[in-house]
Parts: sequence; structure tokens; C-alpha cells
Amino acid sequence: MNAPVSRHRRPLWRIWRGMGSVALTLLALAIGQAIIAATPDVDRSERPFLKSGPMGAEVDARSFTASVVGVRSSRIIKERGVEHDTQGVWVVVKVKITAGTEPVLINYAALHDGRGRTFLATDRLRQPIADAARTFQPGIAVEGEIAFEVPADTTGLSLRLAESSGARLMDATTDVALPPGPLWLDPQPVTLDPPVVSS
Amino acid sequence: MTTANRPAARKLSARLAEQPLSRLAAGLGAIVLAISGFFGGLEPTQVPTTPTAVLDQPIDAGPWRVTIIGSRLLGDLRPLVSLSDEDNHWLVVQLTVEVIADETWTGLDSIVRLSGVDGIESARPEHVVLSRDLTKVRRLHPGMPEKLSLLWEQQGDAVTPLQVELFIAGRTHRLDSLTGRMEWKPEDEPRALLVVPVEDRREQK
Amino acid sequence: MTVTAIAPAPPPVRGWWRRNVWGLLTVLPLLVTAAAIGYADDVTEDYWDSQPRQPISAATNEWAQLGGARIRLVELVAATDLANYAGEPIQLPAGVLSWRAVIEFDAPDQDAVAGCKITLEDRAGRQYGTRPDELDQVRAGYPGCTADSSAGVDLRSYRTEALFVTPVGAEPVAVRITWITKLPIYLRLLR
Repeated sequence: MNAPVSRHRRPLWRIWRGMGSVALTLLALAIGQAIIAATPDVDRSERPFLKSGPMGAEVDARSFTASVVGVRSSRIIKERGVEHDTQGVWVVVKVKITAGTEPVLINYAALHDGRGRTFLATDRLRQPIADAARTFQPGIAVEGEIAFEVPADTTGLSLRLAESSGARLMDATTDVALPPGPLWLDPQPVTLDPPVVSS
Repeated sequence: MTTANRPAARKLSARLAEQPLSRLAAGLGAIVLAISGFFGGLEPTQVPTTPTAVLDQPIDAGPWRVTIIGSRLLGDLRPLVSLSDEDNHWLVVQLTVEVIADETWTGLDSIVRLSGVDGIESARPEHVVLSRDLTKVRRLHPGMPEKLSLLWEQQGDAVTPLQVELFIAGRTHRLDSLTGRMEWKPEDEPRALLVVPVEDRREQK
Repeated sequence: MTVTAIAPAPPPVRGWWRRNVWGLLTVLPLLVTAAAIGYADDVTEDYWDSQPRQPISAATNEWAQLGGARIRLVELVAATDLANYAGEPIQLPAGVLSWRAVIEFDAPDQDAVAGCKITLEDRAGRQYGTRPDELDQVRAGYPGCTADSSAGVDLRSYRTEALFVTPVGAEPVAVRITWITKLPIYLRLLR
């Protein structure tokens, strides 16, 4: 009786083997895709470090510390004799900022709400400390106000401050929750206080 | 296991198996291409045409929703803005912009572009003014639509237009291949084209 | 019935080593070369060089040489006589001290000193900037390393005055002058 033909010489076996290689390649690609999908993307891995804290507490934002001293809100802000109204609400946050080891400018100031929206400081008036208006010298605490314009229905506001601007890649950003609940509106127009050195 | 006993099947599978792998792959590619032809894969690409829009029509253009209100010519607007030559005047486009993205939007001067107006060099406006309090602004916040005026300076000796062609520029939120981050990228094609009549209001303010 | 010979057992481990000895010997130098190439263009080194790392120091009134220019600190003292634009003495907020630094230049080649940044350094290593907002009422000039463009300035001997503020308790020890183009080298004029 003849020895059986080696399996490896049968034509159909070669097709199976080719398909097996293709299948293994596809499997390797699928595993690679799964790894890419499971690991954080660039936006997530380069996001700013949020530094949380309650109102009144000092929050470390790498090159400076900040604490929220108070919040006011109103329908009208008055600046240099001009009244500015809004369809939303003006929120004025008073913060105390102390630079660390080098002079600091606040290039990013925003309110973040519970719906995930970000409102940068308003540019309808001249900001006293935000948008690099004031330089903070190391060790000298300065209290100043930042004005924001937000829709009337926002809730869950938190103050986000940073030295770098824009995407603030991998830099620290404060995240201090403002008092919850509806904002109490001052019936009088609000005027921003000039910054003062705090003792 | 032995191969099939039918001679025809054995011939085909045997012949397939004897082909080099590259030829098998080319044959498979040709079959795939032919199949895709049945599903429109071989149609010529469409050249996109810009849709036209009209006044008071909201246009979604990515991070913002734009409604053009009108256009007019205005004279001296000091102290808000100054003309570089007192014989020049302003071409103003009024519009409502609502930020529908989740964050304060800057780049307000990139929303509307003018084209083909005599005596105006730049497609982008020189100033963006908030109508509410006549302040020059760069920022618009989500959830609060505002009326804006875009200002272009037109040379005094140029032909004053009776109407202007406006393009609404859009942006798409997509991955930036350089940074790897999601960004609002300008689109190649405008979202809409409008022809807007221009009122001459230079005598009034 | 054919009898196939039983294949001999594979050679012992010694055989594998002998066959691969040259390959193994080159792995180590190849690894070292690969690591060296990988680290040769290290970004950390570029970052390091972009910071002030190598000071050129000089004591008060001692000239420091940098490029074709000579620079020295004339004085670094508490500034107690600051006046506002109306000539009235200003009152600093509690907890804040002000300082005055006078720097002298011998720089006929103005390009060698142009574009500098002047800061005050305290014992804790903190740095303070010129023209602080705390002194915005004070009548003061714009400190810099190039001579005032108005005529009649002797480029071999001109001065600049810089005012700073620090919190009470900070002890100034030096004036730093940095040029982005000269980093990591910088000037440290000691008090």
C-alpha cells in the first residue's frame, strides 16, 4: 500500500494555510485597534490638571495659588460710566492670587458650568486682573475681580484660572466650585473693584 | 482526508492552489473593485456647489449659527472706530450669531467673507462690534445669541455697491493630524452664499 | 517495511552557544549604539539649555564681562523715597517693600546687550520683575540694557535704574540679567 500523500502537498491545505495567515494578520490588526481605542487619546492625555478646592481655600495652580473670596452677580455692570446690560447674567468673582517663584499673569480665566460649557472672561469691558492685565509678584497676595457673562439658566459654576492660555496642555488649572443654587442678583449695577494688595 | 473525487472541482481547487499568492490577491482585488462599481464606487466625484441662503435665514456653520440681517454703508463712526482716510466710509454687515459649541468662541472675524467689492482689500472685516453696547469684541459665549456688526473700510472713490456677495464660512470639529487633538478646522468650501442688498445710510449715523 | 533511523538527539546547549557566539557578542555594542543614537538628540537637553543655568557672577561694583560688553551693579538698596507723578511721596501697601537697582553698562556694541530681561533675585531664589503694578503710581522710567536713544549718551558709561517690590521678609541677594539668545548663560550681579 502506498504511503498516504503528505497533507502538506494537498492543494486545499495550502488554501487553508493562506487563509490562516490572513486571519492571524487581521487578528493582530484588531488587537492593535483595540489597544488604541482603550488607551487615552491626545486630548485626554494632554489635558490640563484640574486643581479643585472649596470656596475660600487656597488652590495650588503650579505657578500661583488662588482662593475665591466672594461672588456677586447682577444684570448690569457699570464701567467708566458706561452701563452694560446682558441677556444673561453678569457673574463677578473676587479672587486672591499669590504668585509662587516668578511673576505671574493670568492668561486663562473661565467659568465652567454643569452642562460642560466654558465661558471665558468677558471682553466687553476692561478686566482688572484677567487676560494678563496685572502682573502678580511672588509672595504678594492681591485680591481682584473677574467678570463673566453667562446665560441665566447656568448652574454648577466653577472658576477655572491658569497662567497659560488656550488649551493649557498639561498645565494646572484651578477648579473652584462657586456657591450652588440660583445666583442672587444685585438690583444695583455692579462696578468692578480695582485690585488691592491683601495683607 | 482526500480531495474531492469530482474531476472538475479538483481541477479548479488544484489550479487555484498552484497560483502564486500575489496573483490570487490581484484577482481578489479585481473582484472587489468590480463589486464596488455596482454600489457607485466608480462614479465621478461631485464638485460641491455652495448652497445659497437668504436674509433672516439661520445657517448652521459648525460652532456657530448665523443669521444675516442686512447690510449698509455708514460714514464716520468715531469714537468707536476711525477711518484711515476721511473720504472713505464703512461697509457694515449686520448679523445674529449664536455660539452652539460648548465654549466661548473667538475668531468672530472669520465667519463672514466678502468677495468682489471694489475698494475693499480684505475678505475679512476689520472690526467686529457688539450691537448691544457698541463695544469691539472678540469673544462670544455659548447660549447667548447676539447681534453683531462687521465693518469693512471702503475707499471713497470706489463704486458703492447696491448689493454684496457674502460667504458664510464653516468649521468642522475634527482631528488635527499635526497635534493629534480635536480642533475646529476651517472648511474648504463655504457653508452658504448670500447676495445682500446694501442700504446707503452715510448721511445718518 | 522500511525502518527509519531514529534521529539523533539534538546537540547539547553548548552547540547552540557556539553557533550564535558572534551574534551574541555584537548584541551588546549594538544596544549601546542604539541607546546613544536615541539619546543624542534628547529634547531634555534642549529644554535644559533654554533655561538660565550657567551664571556669570560679579560682586557689587565689580565688572562682569559678557560678549563685548561690561556690566556692573552699582547699588541695590531699599527704595524709600518714591514719589508719584505729582511729586508726592507714595505709600506702599502693608507687607510690601520696594527696592532700587542701579546698573552701569560699558557697551559700545549695543547689539551685545540688546533685548535683556532684568529681575531681582531673593535668598529663596524667587524672582521679581521690573515696573511692578504695585508701583504704577510712581514716576519711573523703563529699565533696559541699551542706551536711551536720545543724543549725548556715552556708550562706554551709561546707567539704568530698575524698581522692584517684594513681600516683607524677602531678602534680595542679586540682580539677574538674562538674554534669550545667550541662555543657558546669564548674568548674576550680587548685592
